[in-house]
Amino acid sequence: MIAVASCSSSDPVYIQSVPPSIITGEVAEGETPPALVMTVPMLLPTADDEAERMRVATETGLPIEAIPSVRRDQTDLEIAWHLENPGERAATARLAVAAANELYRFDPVAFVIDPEEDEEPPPLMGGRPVEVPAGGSVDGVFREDELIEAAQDLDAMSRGGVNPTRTLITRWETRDITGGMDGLLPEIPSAAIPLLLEVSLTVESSQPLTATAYLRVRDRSERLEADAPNPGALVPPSTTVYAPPAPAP
Amino acid sequence: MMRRLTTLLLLALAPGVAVARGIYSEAGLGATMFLGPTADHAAPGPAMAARLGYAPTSWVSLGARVAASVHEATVPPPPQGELFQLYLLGTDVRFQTHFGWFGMFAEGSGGVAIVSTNVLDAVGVTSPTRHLSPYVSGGGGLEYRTDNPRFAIGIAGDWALYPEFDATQSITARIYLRYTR
Repeated sequence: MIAVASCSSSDPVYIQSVPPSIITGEVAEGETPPALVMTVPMLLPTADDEAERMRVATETGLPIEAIPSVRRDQTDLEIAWHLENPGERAATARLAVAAANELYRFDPVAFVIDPEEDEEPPPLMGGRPVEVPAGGSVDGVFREDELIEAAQDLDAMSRGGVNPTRTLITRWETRDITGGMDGLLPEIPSAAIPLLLEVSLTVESSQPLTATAYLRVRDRSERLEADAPNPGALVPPSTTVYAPPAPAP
Repeated sequence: MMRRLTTLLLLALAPGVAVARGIYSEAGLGATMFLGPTADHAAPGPAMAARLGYAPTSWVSLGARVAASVHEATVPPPPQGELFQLYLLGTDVRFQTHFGWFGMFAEGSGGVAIVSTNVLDAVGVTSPTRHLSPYVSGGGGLEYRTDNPRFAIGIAGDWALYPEFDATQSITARIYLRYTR
């Protein structure tokens, strides 16, 4: 009985990327680098889940449509990555994470309307140089708190009306979204922030490297279906790319 | 010195020490390590076990066993430094014989083993649809009966086989305290 009770539903589950590995290198301007994509397989809501969603709507004072079916506060994510340098020269790599929740997708390319004028925003996570020694390897993680922040950033820019660059480069003081202007929602309580359902990791490097990554999921919603899930039974990550509002003329 | 040792041995083997029968419970602490290829992907870790059952005679007991051990997954990174638990839930049988204050026993167990996460999927020990396996185990140990015949302490070692976890094998050593009512 002790053993069964100890098999907690928040035991971590490890989700391998698709593809399992990529060869990284320098990325030419306008070229899309290969990505390691990790999807969180969350089951579609049941009647009980919908009742819980209604309860969150009542508690937060938001309309039910504003409450995502898979919420950030119910699941913790962490990305573990590994870079291997088989070459004879040390390499410098930069990792970048983009992501999608069930409502919007963050793609830095969507921010570039005029390539002469516009610059890509920083990634949701990453951007710092990582040195990989010749013939060596480097491991790292994007921690749970960083993914909590990333989920907040995406919702803040897409629904909260917060300036995208500001939200990407500053750290939230609370888990609620505030300070937006002309967004769909003036304030978004923590309980109404959607979970990131897909994260994609890209790596640019000065030398060819082999990159691998895993997503570590600790779920408390009991909707994680990691064992051979049927795609039709899962909440899909959004395909709606968030585009920043055009500047006023 | 030799005389003293001989005296102690004779005392230890002296007949007449009461051996309790009836309902028993046991708590043990030790360590579990995997054998073969699985040892490359899972480090040895602390283990604990509890047993509860009935001893109809002084030489046999039957009961249930719950055990758990914690291991670091040493799979190729990523992930790195992650822990998983191995849970065992099964039946337990023990045959024992006594020599004065001491006893020797052989034990066997069978039931279900559960790995708490899918961290070993990447190396094929478990798979996305296979985190549960039957197990069989066998082993033995030595027991020392205290002044109070209801209590005994002992050391034991067990080997186990998990056919559905890529035929993984493990060995566990433990010290334990047993109470028989």
